[in-house]
Formats: sequence, structure tokens, C-alpha cells
Amino acid sequence: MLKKLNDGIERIIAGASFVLLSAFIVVVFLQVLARNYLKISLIWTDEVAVMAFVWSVFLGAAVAVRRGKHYVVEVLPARFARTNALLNVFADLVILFFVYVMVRYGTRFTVMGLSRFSTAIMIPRFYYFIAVPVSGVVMVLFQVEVLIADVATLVSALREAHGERVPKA
Amino acid sequence: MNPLVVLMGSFVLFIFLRVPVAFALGVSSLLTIATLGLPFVSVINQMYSSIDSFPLLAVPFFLLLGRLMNHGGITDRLVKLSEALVGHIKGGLGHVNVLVSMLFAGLSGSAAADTAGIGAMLIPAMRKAGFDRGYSVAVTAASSTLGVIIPPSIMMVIYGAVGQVSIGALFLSGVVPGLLIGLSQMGYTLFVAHRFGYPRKQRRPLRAMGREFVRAIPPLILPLIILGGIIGGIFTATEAAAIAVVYGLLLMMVVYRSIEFRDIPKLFADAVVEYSLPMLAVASAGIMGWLIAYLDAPTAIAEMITSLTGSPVGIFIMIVLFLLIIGTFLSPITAIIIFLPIIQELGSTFAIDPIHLGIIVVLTLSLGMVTPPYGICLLIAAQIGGISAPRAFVAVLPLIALGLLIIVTGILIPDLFLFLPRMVMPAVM
Repeated sequence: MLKKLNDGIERIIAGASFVLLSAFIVVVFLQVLARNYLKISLIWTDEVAVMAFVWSVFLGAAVAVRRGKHYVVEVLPARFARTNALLNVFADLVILFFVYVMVRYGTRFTVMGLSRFSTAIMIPRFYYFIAVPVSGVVMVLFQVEVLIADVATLVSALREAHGERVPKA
Repeated sequence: MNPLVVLMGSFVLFIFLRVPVAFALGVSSLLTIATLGLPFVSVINQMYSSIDSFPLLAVPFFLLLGRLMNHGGITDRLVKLSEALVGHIKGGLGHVNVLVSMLFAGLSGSAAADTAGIGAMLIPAMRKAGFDRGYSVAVTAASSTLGVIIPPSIMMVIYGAVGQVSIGALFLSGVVPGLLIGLSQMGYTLFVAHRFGYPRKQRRPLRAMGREFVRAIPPLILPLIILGGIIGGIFTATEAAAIAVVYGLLLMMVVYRSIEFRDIPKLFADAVVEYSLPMLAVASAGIMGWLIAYLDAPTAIAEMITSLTGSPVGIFIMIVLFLLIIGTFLSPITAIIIFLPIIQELGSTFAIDPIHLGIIVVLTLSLGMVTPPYGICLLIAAQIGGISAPRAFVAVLPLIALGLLIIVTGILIPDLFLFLPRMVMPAVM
């Protein structure tokens, strides 16, 4: 169930990522052309490009949570399977806590954005800031899926260790 | 408890407990903010405003460009050109590896794309030709760090944006050390090749050399556009990066037809996930950087260090040692965001030229990309070569020593790295 939902979300994010990245490439390119050839400075290009960039970062970072791609410093070698499995579950919980803060305080931050307007295109900063809680909600869904998988790995690692001991005894 | 101790202590603890760096930065900052009784909403504010910055857009552009070059056969053309130029020297493929990294570095601002693209082609070829695996992995990893030294460079864009230093001047200051490091690595290759009897390739006729050169001209125009445009003031580093991406896309889709339109959505979506990794780390490093400034750490640390040493060279050596240690487990970008305020405070206390400081910091942090536990270039190269990270590290040690030698030379003779930006961009120097 959760996996199906998350697969769907990831597909939507992939589409959105393509649109956002294309958008800010085109916008920055336009900015250079307009300034050097038409001799006009477009005032909206900076803001639109940065907005698309920030959205793409928060959405991409959520996908990276699901794929377990965020950089981890490997202190223990891979053969410490049980300890590493246990630490993975701990790390999952720490990530969940931070993501919870992103949702809860990100929402408060976003509401503050209703009364703040961007300087060039004069739209509420709300539409910029909401990238944080939206990304946070997606990260919760993705991270719960990861947590379930990591707990399963831990349980089987513990069982295996137990199973190895039995024949020796 | 001292809030700074809470911040650094909990950060290191979380890192050791396998929490991803971006989240370890965020949670340790949250703990500190709770200790100080500050509102949690300021965490989100700092996180957001750290990446709400136009210059940072250069990061996705340069990463995408590196990806396009590997997918679109540009890396392949550069390898063939390098083979024609230096393949006949003793230890041929080793020299090719270094030279192609230097060429690639002029097109891309990312070192990891360099390791992945060149490593996938040359490490297997070197193994087949009888090169030691450790050496092949080491020379691939070490030479690919030139990606952030020879302009353009993602690391320099971030340094310039965060530290308010001219990105163009930083780029130019990387040219001389980039060439020196490349040459020193070729020298090391020559030494190893003679000792272990590594093969050379047959010398190619001049006509073949000319043909490979003509084939590589379209991509080699890119560095000229990027550097020329920035130095000439036609566009900023970020805009140059966008133009480079558009040029690269046109080249590969229209001229070479090596990338088809239907490949683009996946290529872009993967690129977004790839750059979101360093950018989320930048966002959460921004929280920690803000806390460090809030706690007045830069002045305190500057005062403490001033009591230890009085000379600029002494300061430089302390900064280099500190960054070498930090660089083993932090990515260069994260390290810059967190520690640049402290480093610049030290620099201005001792009247060190900001560009001189910048290039030394970048060079030192680039060594962190080949040191475990977290050295991205070393990890990628070791994985391709099928050897363990510790073994790769031992093999890369002589190359790190050469890099350090060049850094120390640059500290003692500032003009060596700085004459080029002084000559070309006197206005900002």
C-alpha cells in the first residue's frame, strides 16, 4: 500500500523535477540573451529561477531519502552487519524527527510567508516557503517505508545471528 | 553546557551513529537551539535562506553538464585526444588519465562526474594493460579532483557566493595550481612506470593527432566561452554555467545526436536527485553556520588562534591542518558553508589576500575528496576498480603528498597563484 502510494509520488516528483530544472535553465538563458542582445534587464528571471531551483532541491532531497542516497560517513566496515542494521534504524528515527520539525515549523514558516511578498514579481512568499512542509510530508511517507524495511533487516540479522549459534551449541 | 560544545559534540556523535550528514547537521542545530531557547521556526528560516540564492544555481548546471558529457560521448572524445597526445610516453594510460582529467576539468565544475566518467573508461583499460589496480584507482581519483581546481569549479562558486569574493578571480587563481598538480601527477606516473615497467602506447602519426583534436574542438570551445564570458563581464559564473548547459545540450542532441530527446526527462530527474544531496547539506549547514556566528565563535576562535601564532604563514598552516582533518568526513561544500566565516575572520585579522586564502582553502579541501572515510572521488574510483577504500588510500598517499607540496609552495609564494588573476582582472584584486 505505502509502497504503491510512494511509487506514485516518486513518479510525480520525477515529472516535476524535469519541468523545474528545464524551467530554470531556460529562464537563466533568457536573462543573458535579453541583457546582452535586447539590452533590457528582466527583473523577474532571478526570482523565478531561484524559486524553481529551491522547489527542485526539496523535492529531489525527498526522493534521495527514499533511495537512501544522503551521504553517510561509514565508520564501521560492512561486516558488522547487526550493529550497522541497528544504527540504520536509529538514523531513520533521527531523520524522522528532523522531518517532523520540517513539517510542523515549516508550516508555521509558510503561514508567515502569506504576508511577505517577493520583490520583483510581488507574489506571496507563501508559494516559495511551502516547498519545505510539502517536502517534509513526502519525506515522512518515504522515511516510514525505509524504516519498515530497515527494521525487517535488523530482525532478520538478529535471527540469523541466533540461528548460527544454535548448531554450535 | 556551552552551546558550541553541544553543537559540535552532538554533530560528531550523530555522524558516528550513521546519521546522514545533512540530517546530523540539522538535528544537532535543533538541540543547540533548544538549549538556547530560540524558536524552532528560525531553523526553517535559516535552512530556506541558505539555498535561496542565485549563485548556487551554478551547482545544478555544472553537475548536469558533467552528466551530459559522460552520457553524450564527450568524455570518450577527450580520452581519444589525450591518447593521441600523451599515450606514447612511458606509462601511457596513466598520463592519459591525468591529461583527460585536466581537459574535463575545464569543461565541468564537478570532480565526482570526472571520476565516474573517466574511471569507468580508463580503470578497466589500465587493468587490461597490466597496471597495478591500486595505482589505477589512485591516479583516477587524485587527478579528478582537478575538476574543482581548474576552472570552472562548483566549489569556487560556493566559496565566492558564501564568502563574497570574486568568483572570476578565484577561477583564474586555480589555473596555475591545476596545471602544477596535473604535471606533478604525470611526473609521478613516469616514476612509477619506470619502476614497475608499465607499458606505453604506440606513437600516433601527426595526422591522427590532428584528427582527434578536430573531433574534440566543439567541446573544448566550452571553457573559452565560460572563462571569457566571466572575465569579460558579459555574464556571471552562474549564467555562464547555464549557457554551457544549453550549448552542451544542443551539441549532443543536434550535432552529435548522441542523446535523444526521450532520454532527457530521466536524465534531468536523476540530475535533480543528484544535486539535491549537496544542496540539502548546504541548507542544513546554513543552520549550523548561522548558529556559529550567533554564538560569536569566529571572533572567539580568531582571538584564541592569534595568541598561538602571529604570522600569516602560521595561520595558513593551522587552517590547512584543520581543513585536512575536517575534509576527511565532511564534503568540501559543507565544510565551506560551516567554517568559512571563521576562516575569513582569521584571514582578515592577518591581512591575507582573500583570493589567496580562497585558493588555498579550495586546494586543501580538494584533498579531502580522496581521503576516507568520506572522500567521494576515492570511493567512486575504488568501487570501479574493485578494491577496498583503505587500499586505495594507501595508493593515493604519494599523490596527496604532491598536492600538499604544491599547497605549501603556494602559501610561501603567493604570486605564483595570484599573478594570473592580478594580470587579467586587476579591478577585483
